[in-house]
Amino acid sequence: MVKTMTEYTKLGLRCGLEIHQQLEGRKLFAPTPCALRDDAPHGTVTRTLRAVAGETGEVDVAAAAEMRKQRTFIYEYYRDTTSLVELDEAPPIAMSAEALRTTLQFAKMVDAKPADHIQVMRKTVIDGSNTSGFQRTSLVARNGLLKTPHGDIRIPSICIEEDAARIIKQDGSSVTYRLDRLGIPLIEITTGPDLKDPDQVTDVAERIGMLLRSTGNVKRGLGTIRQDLNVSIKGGERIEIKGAQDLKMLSTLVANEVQRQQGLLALAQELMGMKPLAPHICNVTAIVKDVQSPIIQRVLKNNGVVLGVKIPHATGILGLELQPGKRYGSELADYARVFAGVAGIIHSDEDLSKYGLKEKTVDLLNELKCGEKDAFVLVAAPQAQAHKALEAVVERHNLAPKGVLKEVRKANDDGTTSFLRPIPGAARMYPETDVSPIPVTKELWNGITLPERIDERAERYVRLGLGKDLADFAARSEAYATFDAFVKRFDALKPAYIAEVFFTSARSIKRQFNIEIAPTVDDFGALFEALQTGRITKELIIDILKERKPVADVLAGHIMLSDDELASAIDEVIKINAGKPFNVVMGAAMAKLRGKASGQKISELLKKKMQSKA
Amino acid sequence: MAKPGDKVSVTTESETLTGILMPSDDKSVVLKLDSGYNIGLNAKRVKSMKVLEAHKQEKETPGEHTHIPGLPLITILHTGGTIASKVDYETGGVVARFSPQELLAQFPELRSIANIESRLVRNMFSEDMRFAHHNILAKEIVKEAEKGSRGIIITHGTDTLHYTAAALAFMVRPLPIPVILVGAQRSSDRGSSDAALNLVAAARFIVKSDFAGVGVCMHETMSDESCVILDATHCRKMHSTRRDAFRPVNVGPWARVRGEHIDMLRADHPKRSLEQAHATLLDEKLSIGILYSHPNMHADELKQYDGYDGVVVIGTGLGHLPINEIDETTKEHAKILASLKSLIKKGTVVVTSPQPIFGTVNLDVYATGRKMQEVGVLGNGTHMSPEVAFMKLAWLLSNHRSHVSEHWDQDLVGELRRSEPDQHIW
Repeated sequence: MVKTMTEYTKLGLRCGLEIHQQLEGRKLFAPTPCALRDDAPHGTVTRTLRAVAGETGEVDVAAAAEMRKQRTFIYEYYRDTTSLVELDEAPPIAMSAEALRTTLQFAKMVDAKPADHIQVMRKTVIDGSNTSGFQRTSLVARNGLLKTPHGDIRIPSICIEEDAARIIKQDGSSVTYRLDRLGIPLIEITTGPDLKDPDQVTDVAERIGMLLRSTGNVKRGLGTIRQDLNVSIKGGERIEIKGAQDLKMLSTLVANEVQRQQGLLALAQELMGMKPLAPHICNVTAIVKDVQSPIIQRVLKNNGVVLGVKIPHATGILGLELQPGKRYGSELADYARVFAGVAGIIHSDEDLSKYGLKEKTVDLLNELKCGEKDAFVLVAAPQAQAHKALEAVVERHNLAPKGVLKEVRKANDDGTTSFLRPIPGAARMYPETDVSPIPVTKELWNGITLPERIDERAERYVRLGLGKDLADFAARSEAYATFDAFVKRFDALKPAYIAEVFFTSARSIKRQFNIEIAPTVDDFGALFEALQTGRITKELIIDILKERKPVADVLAGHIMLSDDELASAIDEVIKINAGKPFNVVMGAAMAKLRGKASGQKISELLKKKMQSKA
Repeated sequence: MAKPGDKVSVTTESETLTGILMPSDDKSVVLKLDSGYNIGLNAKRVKSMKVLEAHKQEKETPGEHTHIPGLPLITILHTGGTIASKVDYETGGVVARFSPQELLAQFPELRSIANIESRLVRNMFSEDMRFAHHNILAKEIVKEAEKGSRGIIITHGTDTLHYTAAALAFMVRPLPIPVILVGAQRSSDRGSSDAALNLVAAARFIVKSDFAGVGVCMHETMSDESCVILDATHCRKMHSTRRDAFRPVNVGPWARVRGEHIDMLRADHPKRSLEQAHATLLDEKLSIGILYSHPNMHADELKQYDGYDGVVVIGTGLGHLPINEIDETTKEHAKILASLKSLIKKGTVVVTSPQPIFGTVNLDVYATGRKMQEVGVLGNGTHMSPEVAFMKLAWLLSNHRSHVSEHWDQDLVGELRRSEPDQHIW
């Protein structure tokens, strides 16, 4: 259901963006390159991380219990692109000046105020994704403003920080991370909750992305930019949606989240006054042991059970659609998945014939003591896990009268979200004492030049005569500077023509002749030089490039005819083709003389000669 | 006057910021903002600062500390190399923690291994250690052994940990209980600190084995899988930063501790006894220098040590100094030999040790060595790392001043134990 801007305003939609963009160059605090690897690692180290004692000096009971479980982390490294810093075997080196400069550049582009001294902090992280048990992060600038046609968007903070290691696999109690991504510089840009409707979100994300790309120093490709959203409506709670990678999905995610929050608020109204349920979990294995369901049979074969619990007065509620294709039952299933690790749940608002359970419905309702309005939830899993899962389901349902729960949710590919974890408490940060504070001096700040923005560059190219599409393409290309240099140098050629040759030749040759060409900058330079001096004509470009040899070599073997040589060559052609019509002779002349003189010249001269002979 | 920890409001020419005041210097005012980030403002830009809320110093309740009957007692003596610390997120400070309650809170595994007593001897960088500090430690060890401690763990900065280990091995004899030195290459405020495994492994080793003597317990590899108990006179810090920086020299480690498993690796380890511990101390007024041989050396470099009690030469190869005059440009070498002779004649005891660290000193093979012996340089036939040689010389000069040469090639505490022929250097 597509809402209007006014409707979103009435709902009190507040939305904010948090964008993480990877930068090029070296790692933020290590001398190694930012290179993601998919070849086999050269080695691994194995570590455990401990919960750090909190303010009171006590390690809390839960953390101590977690420690007793002792998760092992395996870190993969590469001899040539991993250093001791990423392995937490040496202190960090000074912050990458290039990364800092790019961040200050962005700050300047949105009028943000830089810190006088940047303080690097340690943010505690013990899920294993940082070898040291913390992430290095620092606040670079504050209070920026992004001006858009829809209004001003505040940018309260711009930070620079380390990216985390990436998960390769997880089995049992050990998690394997790869260190290639650890330490890659990330610019973190946070907007205020100033976005008022889903389309505005996409627009602002695109603008910020464009500004970042204008610096010329951001990594490109899938996964190099991550978007997180904060969404809330009046009466709801602030939800964090993590990991939206596709820009086009952002507005859908926001719209769906608004819908979900509305649904939960309506549900809360309906369930107002509901007494918290104490879970009465029953073993219903005996009832379902013969059903034709691969899921259930597989679990039972491995000594699992099927447990069930009654959810009073919930018929029709479990099946309530909160997001497209996702129901309130999905929220319960998410809890079961996250807290007990089961694959999913079965509930009575579903089509139970999917699980071969239709015939068993009455027996199940009886066993679980369900009346007409009562629903039930089943889980098939090993006993302890299944029990934990249903406890989680009941826990979540008991929270339903609260309406929207403050959560961190995961962005799914279809534009819906799933529960990931409760919103964490205040980030635990303390100074990174291995890195001295970084002064942002007047010299440093004044020396930060604003880059040409990509949208402004596209406009500039349009003014040079390029069509809009080609102008956009050229402006966004990493080779735009080369194009600019060509335009400057080869002033006899139209910029639009240079652009067409430079940016589209490879594509059109592939399309027309199914040949892959990979001309270098020198190749194009030689080509344009020859065109500029009249050494070759435009008709020859495709042929020369098709040869797939260095252009300079191809040109060396190419001769242009002088006017006298051309005249006698044409006389030759006329003699051989005596009596034939002009078209035929012209064809023969072009076949022989193509590229050695302009087609126009050949045609004019031939006409003149044939007319004079006639 | 605002103090660190106070909630303040700071006004500059362009804005007013609130936050918690952090320790600042005269160049910048550091605030912790609500987001948790610290930010530094140029002190010159601060027009005014107002205290909004003074910092309430939380009274720390030390918490229960009772011993569990049936568990042995381990004493932890802290000299530095903070193995346990607490982060105060409010002030951003990292504070070292020493009390048994705090240690048990940070390392709960210890609860099932031993009862802990702990004492703060010093909290110092180990590069600042002097013979006086070694003496304090030696006396503390004797005191704790007398009290019936099952074993002692000494926390120590890693820079000179191997010096102290050697010193204590020479000084405390007999030593009827284990004394294990433990350090941390990664600060203990972080979840990845190697302190935990090193400390717990040392405690397990003390409780489960019958070893007595001085040992060093550090990571065996870059992984958190096992620690080694290194021989105090056969180990050295061989990497500036890695967890497994401490490596055996010439002789392998006493044991490996992997989880709850102890593997004794050598058949001849010294065993617990009922003897009384005894310490012979170092003379704190001793002057002992270390001279690193190198190309292009000058005789003046030896003159620095005129009047010194002792000099440890770190000689190239088999223990050599450049003392051969072979051409026009090596006339200096004759002067070096002359300075050496004069230094020794005037009473400075000069010993040589190998610059390669590993391997034996042999002054018989080449003329260089033979000339060094002729002028009285000691060390032929020994194989001690330069740091162990330094400590042995210190101990001998302190306690057997007139008989150093007789005692130099005597094996006092296993420092001259026969080398393993196939040891990996790294």
